[in-house]
Amino acid sequence: MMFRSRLYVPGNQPRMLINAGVYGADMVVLDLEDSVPVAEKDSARDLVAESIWSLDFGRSGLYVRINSDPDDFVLDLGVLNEKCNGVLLPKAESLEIVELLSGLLAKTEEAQEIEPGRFIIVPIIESAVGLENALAIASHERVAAMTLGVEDLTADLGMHRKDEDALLYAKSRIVVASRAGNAAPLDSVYGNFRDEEGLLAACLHSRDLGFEGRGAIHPNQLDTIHKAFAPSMKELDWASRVVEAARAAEAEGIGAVTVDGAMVDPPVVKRAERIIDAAKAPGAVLDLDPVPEEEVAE
Amino acid sequence: MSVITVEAEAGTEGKDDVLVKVGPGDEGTGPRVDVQCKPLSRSSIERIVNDIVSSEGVTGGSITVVDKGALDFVLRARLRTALRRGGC
Repeated sequence: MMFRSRLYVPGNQPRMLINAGVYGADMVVLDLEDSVPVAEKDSARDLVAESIWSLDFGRSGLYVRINSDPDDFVLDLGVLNEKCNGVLLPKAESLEIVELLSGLLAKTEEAQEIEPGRFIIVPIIESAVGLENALAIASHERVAAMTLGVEDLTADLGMHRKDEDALLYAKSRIVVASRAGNAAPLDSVYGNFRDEEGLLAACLHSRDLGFEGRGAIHPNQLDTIHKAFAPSMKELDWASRVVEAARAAEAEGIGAVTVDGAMVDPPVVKRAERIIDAAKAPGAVLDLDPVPEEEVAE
Repeated sequence: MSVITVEAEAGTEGKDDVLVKVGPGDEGTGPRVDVQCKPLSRSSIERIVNDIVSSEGVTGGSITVVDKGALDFVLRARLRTALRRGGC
């Protein structure tokens, strides 16, 4: 399951739904929340449900961003079928709401004879309370990834800036809570879809912080996101040697091993394995090197 | 069995979309259907409308379809929404 890129598609726009699967996003997110006016929620549910049945979303994982109010998301879950991989839960603030949603997803899986646990939950943290409860939320067994919603979060925190420096604590908190809860940390969207250079810089910063992917509001952002989150050839070479050395050490019963003069311990092996997994991802751009070689950590 | 009890609509006249309008009408003979589209699309649209009307058990009212090049799934969705909004 890859999370490098997630393309948000308004659930009430037929033109955008039709093409959603052709761009190669790791996640296509059919949106029933903020991009859909309240008066059109019912119409969007019908359209999203029919599109899921009818359209081919290619290699993209298929997700639905449901509404945050349980009275609404009960209705939203009616669009899911076995082609879907999960839901994004906006304004997630507590483990209780995740547990409520998980129970409803279990019933949906049972009713449609879908393998239990297929539908994952990706909570979107958008408030101070949510940020404080991020570890509990990320620890739920259905939560495979977690992200944040910058607009609502900065408003709730009373922040006057939304740049990367101002958001450093919140973003790092998401990364730490996600990793501690065994979920993939995903960064928010980059709002200016015409600023490719700014997007690349933002994605590389996301990667530095520990995020595994970034959201997209426009298909033309996807190549840049994939480029930023793909491992470089030098990283891949390092990761391969680390994993090989660790395996050899384990086979020989040796406790400590070094690669390029640096100690290889379990966290280093884990990081190397993540790099190899990323390199195996469909669409990974391995012939490009988004990170200057001198910045590659060893 | 159900009938359309109020005027309602779903969809838009935007490209790749379809506007479906429904309204009350005589019961028992099935809804009166008016399709505004390119000639080549008419039979396909009428078939989908009839399928949905049949599956929803709609026995009366009027349905107007203004197609702007919508794919089948869009028409099915807009029809379901309009009929539900119309009281079916």
